[in-house]
Amino acid sequence: MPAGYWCPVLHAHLPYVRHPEHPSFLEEDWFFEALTETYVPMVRVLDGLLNDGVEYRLTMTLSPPLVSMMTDELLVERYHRHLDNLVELARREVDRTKKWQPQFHDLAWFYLHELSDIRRVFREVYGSNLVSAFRKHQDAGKLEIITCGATHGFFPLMDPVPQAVRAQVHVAAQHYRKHFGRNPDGIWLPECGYTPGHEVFLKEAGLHFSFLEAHGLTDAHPRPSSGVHAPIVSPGGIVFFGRDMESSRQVWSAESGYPGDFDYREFYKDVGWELPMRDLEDFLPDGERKNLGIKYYRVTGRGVDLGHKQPYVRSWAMGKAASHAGNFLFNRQKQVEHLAGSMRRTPIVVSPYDAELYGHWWFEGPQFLDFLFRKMHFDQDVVKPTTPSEYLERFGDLEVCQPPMCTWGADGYAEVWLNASNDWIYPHLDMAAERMVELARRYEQAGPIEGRALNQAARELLLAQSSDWAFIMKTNTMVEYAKKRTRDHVARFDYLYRALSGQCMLEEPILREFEERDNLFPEIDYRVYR
Amino acid sequence: MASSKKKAEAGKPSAPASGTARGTRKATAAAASKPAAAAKAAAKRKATPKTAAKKAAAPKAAPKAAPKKAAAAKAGPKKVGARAVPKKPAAKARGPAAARGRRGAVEEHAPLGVPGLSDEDQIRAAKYLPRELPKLLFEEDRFLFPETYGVNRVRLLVRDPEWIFAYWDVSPAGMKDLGKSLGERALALSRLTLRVLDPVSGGSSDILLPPGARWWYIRTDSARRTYRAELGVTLPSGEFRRLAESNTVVTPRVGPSPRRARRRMSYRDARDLPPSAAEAAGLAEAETGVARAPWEAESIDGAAAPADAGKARRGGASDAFRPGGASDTFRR
Repeated sequence: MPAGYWCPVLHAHLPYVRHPEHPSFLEEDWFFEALTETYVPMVRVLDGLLNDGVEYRLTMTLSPPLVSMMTDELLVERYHRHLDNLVELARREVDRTKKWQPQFHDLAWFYLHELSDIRRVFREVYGSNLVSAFRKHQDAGKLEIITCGATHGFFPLMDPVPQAVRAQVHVAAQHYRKHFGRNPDGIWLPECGYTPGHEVFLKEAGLHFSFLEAHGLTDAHPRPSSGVHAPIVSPGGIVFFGRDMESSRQVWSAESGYPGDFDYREFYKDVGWELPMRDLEDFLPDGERKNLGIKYYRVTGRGVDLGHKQPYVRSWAMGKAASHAGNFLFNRQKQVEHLAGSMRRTPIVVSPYDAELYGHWWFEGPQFLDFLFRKMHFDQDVVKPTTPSEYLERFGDLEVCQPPMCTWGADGYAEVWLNASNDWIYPHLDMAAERMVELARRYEQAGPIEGRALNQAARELLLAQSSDWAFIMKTNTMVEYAKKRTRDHVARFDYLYRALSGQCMLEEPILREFEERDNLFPEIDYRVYR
Repeated sequence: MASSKKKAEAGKPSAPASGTARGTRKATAAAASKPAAAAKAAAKRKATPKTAAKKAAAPKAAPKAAPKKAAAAKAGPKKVGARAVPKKPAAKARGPAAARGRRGAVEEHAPLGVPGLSDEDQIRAAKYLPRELPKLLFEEDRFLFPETYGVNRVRLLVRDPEWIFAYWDVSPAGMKDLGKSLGERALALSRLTLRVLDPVSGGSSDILLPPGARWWYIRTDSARRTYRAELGVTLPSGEFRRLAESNTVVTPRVGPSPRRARRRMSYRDARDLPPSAAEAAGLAEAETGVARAPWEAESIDGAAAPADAGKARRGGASDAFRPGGASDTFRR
């Protein structure tokens, strides 16, 4: 019997970005990069663990937009093209570096092998369907996949129209059932955004547990006796796990976290920006520079500017990943031993991370997890990995406490998604949500074309509600795109609302255009908004 | 706009390459000869429903038109004319591209398996793969977020323990009616006002809103408290005329609770708890632990707040759509 448990949670989400109207679209690269650098490498790690009989446990959110993109024909086809280009770039880099930059030649070979292997796993092992890969691990009892908001809408700011929150939860649960063949037990509240009272929507969808930022538990009323190291149940009957800050900081922190180690790969120095354009013209179809995914430098040192970075040495980085895994394990052992001494129950340390932290941001992250699970399995018995369902089955005696409103954003509340950069969207999103409820109530029964229009209106509303747009506006990264997406979905919704209210003609070709462009949730039923 | 531009561009290079596309040939040739006019015409047509209906029939011709689309796809991103496009790879690209549909691409996993092409050619050719580029009928970029939705409404959102966010909408027709009943002069001297009140323990505070404001951040009391807002007009006499009422919100508790948890529930029991129990618990939560002491902020107009203590409940759309509900009624 271990002294305590570790529950790693990877939150995998990307907004739904799919632009059939353009031959290629920069923002679709978010998805392609995530596949190449995070999701396929993670699957490869999990496969290795499974094959070697390692008792790993992992909890993952696969958000409905991400699952929809992973199973979308057009995007998968484009990803094939993207991967082929990448492998070809790596091949050319092998030739180029041999002659011109021998210091990177070994590394160029590494990329060629790595990318070819990613392509092999994606195409040959899983037949271009990565969802089936995750499902396989879930069916093996090692991975617990939980759901999320249908489009990652930020629930606390949807509170004035409760039906909008309900729809986010119900559509997501339905989508999960379709892709994973079972009911989800847990949900990752988008941005960990919780408002008291939302339990009712989770209950209706058959969900049992979720996760909160640490102060969701420490500030709960009455006060839980074990802090964040034991789940609580709210009076509404939903179990909440709290985020452990210590283990989070070890990976997340820009200052003291592992990913900042000097031997790890530098994120910001990419051949897409480094090589002369003549070497890249086949890989930059629009002629504009962007990250291509081949990077030759390491972090090198704190405050070292990009011009003075040193070459990346793969073997050093792997050595560091192994040693960091050992360090992380040692810290968890000491932590659970300490907690077990002061608690009346077996502690659980819950460590949620953005999935893309592993691989995309921290290139060596998947290998770190690989080393960690292996060490945890073979080297010790003090701390063992677990999933929420497994832990709750064993330790189901819970304190009843009411968490306060909280999120995992900066300062713990909603400021990231509600501030001067993005507050203007809420009156429009809220109005659209109210109108959607109005439509759903007005059309108890709808004719075929009205039914399609109503379902599409629901899709447009859901897409407009993605918390990603408000987040991007705040972080000032791709603001124009985020504004465009908000506007586009609100505009399409507005058209459908007016058409369904008799204020303009409902034109089937326009409706079809919307359906083709925003094609997720084909099974949606607008009555969810009643 | 974007699509019409693309059409004009596509017309230019695709004329020689569209031999097989019988149905679309004429149109393409026309576009090639007068690209600007074609673009204009396309833009114009887009607005009319007739074209839309015509376009509905278009997909029938789509398979035949595929090679032309290859050229269109090529032309889109490349900015034709900026660089001489080698004819050979483009011509070869059409072969495999036309042969395999989208579905085939996913299943075959051999995207460019054409004999006689070097790797480099294949990569280059990939740029010209046909995209089924839909002609866009609906122009989102012409959409402007409305200044008003034409209803009286006000809503509150909790941003954090210290701030709540209020946004509202005022019906221009309603204001006109008010002007009629009060007189234009009195209306001009009136101020749109947000009255923030604590429905549980009483107390209110008025915020005289500057003209043109659509939302407002409201600093809250430090205690966990329930808030509701009323949007209204403060008349020159000081009288407050309510236009709409908001949802009710509760600011979050900060810091550890002084009371230790004693009640326990098993996971099994929690799972079995029905949604109705969760709803009841949610309503109870909105009332527990909120500040009971009266709110001390001074009201600007000194009006007494309605003392419907204990009636705090979550508002929402259900209220908004009740016929004749508070939020839509102009109360006199």
